Amino acid sequence: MLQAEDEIAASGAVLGAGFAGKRAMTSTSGPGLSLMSEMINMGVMSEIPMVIANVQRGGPSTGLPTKVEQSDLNIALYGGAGDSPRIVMAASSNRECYTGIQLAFDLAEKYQTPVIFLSDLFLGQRTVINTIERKIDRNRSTRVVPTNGDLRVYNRFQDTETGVSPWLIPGEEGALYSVTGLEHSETGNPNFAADVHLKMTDKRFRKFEAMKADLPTPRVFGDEDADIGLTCWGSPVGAVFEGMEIARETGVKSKMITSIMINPQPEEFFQAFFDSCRKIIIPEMNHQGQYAALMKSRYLIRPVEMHFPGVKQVSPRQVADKIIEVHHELTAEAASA
Amino acid sequence: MSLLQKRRVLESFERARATKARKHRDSLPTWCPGCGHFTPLQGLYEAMETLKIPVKDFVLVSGIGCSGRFPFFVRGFGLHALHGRAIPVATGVKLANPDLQVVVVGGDGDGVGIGGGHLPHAARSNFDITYLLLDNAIYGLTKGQTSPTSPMGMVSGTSPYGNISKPLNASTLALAYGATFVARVFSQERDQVTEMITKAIAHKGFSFLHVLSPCVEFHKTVTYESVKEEVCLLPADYNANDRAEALVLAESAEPVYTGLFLEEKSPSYHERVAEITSKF
Ligand SMILES: Cc1ncc(C[n+]2csc(CCOP(=O)(O)OP(=O)(O)O)c2C)c(N)n1
Ligand code: SF4
Ligand SMILES: [Mg+2]
Repeated sequence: MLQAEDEIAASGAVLGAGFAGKRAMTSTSGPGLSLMSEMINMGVMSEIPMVIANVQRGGPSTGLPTKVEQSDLNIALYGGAGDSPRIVMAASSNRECYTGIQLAFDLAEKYQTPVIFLSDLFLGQRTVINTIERKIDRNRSTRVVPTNGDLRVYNRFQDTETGVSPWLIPGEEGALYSVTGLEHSETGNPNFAADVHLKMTDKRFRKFEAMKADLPTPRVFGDEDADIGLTCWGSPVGAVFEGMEIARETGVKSKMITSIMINPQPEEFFQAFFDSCRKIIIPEMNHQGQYAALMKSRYLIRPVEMHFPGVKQVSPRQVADKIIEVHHELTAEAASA
Repeated sequence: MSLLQKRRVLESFERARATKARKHRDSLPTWCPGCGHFTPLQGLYEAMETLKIPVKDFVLVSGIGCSGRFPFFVRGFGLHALHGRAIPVATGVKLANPDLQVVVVGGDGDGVGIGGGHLPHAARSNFDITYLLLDNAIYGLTKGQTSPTSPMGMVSGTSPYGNISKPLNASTLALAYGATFVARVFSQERDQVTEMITKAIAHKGFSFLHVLSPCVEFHKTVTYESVKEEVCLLPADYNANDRAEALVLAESAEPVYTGLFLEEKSPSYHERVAEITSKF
């Protein structure tokens, strides 16, 4: 472990280690992620794996260092200049922090791109006892290694069907190359031609399509035949589930879909789930409804949003009340129809 | 580019070709003819040859600027990083694989301006990397703004009435931060530059080379002629083993000394890590 002088340096060292072919990560909270955004962008551009864990606090700015919020989703998804795709994951339990970070490294290395892994104060300051299902394997690698054929005319950023280029690491024999945060051609040399930019941007985004084959199936809870569906992310998953149970005790059924993957997402599961609901509720711990905004644009749904900014936390009771309220609306609609 | 300029570029390349080091050249430098950065590039080629560094183990990390273009001109692995952030990126490379020979190159804006906060930490940790700071006292790439090493009074787009902030002295900073190898050279002195780059890379620990490297395109006052007037070799009997004395000499403005200010033996970061890990 290296204690860096600041978050820019920490993310820089992760980028450097990634360039040298080692799995590396750093962690931060809130404002630190803002400082890392230029380096994350460089990781996207120069196709270097990085894992950045952000244990969310309340914001903006220095914000509420000792309080919880889920308000860094937007910066995780969109922070940084340019058309800059990145993997965003969010753990909903401590177990998922442990297993999910392994998946984060696998994806980052295989697809040569940064992963932002969101946790929050609730998860970060909680102690739980779990059995370990999969030990961390320090020699694990998901790198796409160049074949002898690839090395005959090696292009570090060779455009392939999946967008993933075979990756030779400094210190290995066979080829030499430079990488840059400037736009570049397949060789890695700077190139600002319009067609090169189009092609390479497309390559960087195409990796995210290919990645969908490696994503875990989302988890679905509750009554399959319910009309009311919920989706949420991160630490409130437990509280929301509890709210569903309370509503169920009063005879109101509901179901929930959640995934550790925020971007990319196994979309067909979400789409099918939403198609099977008459009403969708999205509770989350921020003022804007950042996750709801993503869901609305991605699946063209019109959910009922519940925003719990800052200190307020998602309360199971309020979730239950909302489920019951929506149930009454649906019943009234059905009666008047 | 005029014909004359083109001829000068070609001539400078003929010179480069003629040396034993030509196999270390990658694509043609894009610098202006006469740019101070050519000499350290040539010096690096020669140092790589002298030190027999296998290209597959050579990583050049740079910042952004004219100086930052180095990796594209050298055969080896290159990481053209972000403006001001070459040092932390290089420490990551070195941590990940200590067998790699890591050299960092950056300009004065890059290294003591935007990235000035990283130098102290790489130096005090004694990472076994070499840092070439190409100081032209101006932002070259962005066409001539005042930099943190620009002299007072310098007129530029960002200081139209003359620079009113005192310049930083990069050699003094490196000494104060605890770098274990600190030297200053002048770009016009090819042999001196090559010799010091070779020594700096051979040094175990953080080596800092301050290259006075004029920008012929934009600098009106810091020129080959002006620097030549100011510089003077360190006294022949100077020993380069006393940091306090080195600081005094590095700070001197009349004359501006060139040569090796300090060379100190001290375990590198990686050796210290190895010492800890050997206990487990
Ligand atoms: C974060 C950021 N800010 C500003 C710039 C624009 N920029 C590019 S190079 C440069 C200054 C370069 O000066 P110096 O480091 O002295 O290098 P030189 O070109 O003189 O070798 C600046 C300000 C940038 N690329 N990135
Ligand atoms: S602008 Fe100045 S620093 Fe840049 S290449 Fe030209 S002479 Fe060199
Ligand atoms: Mg400069």
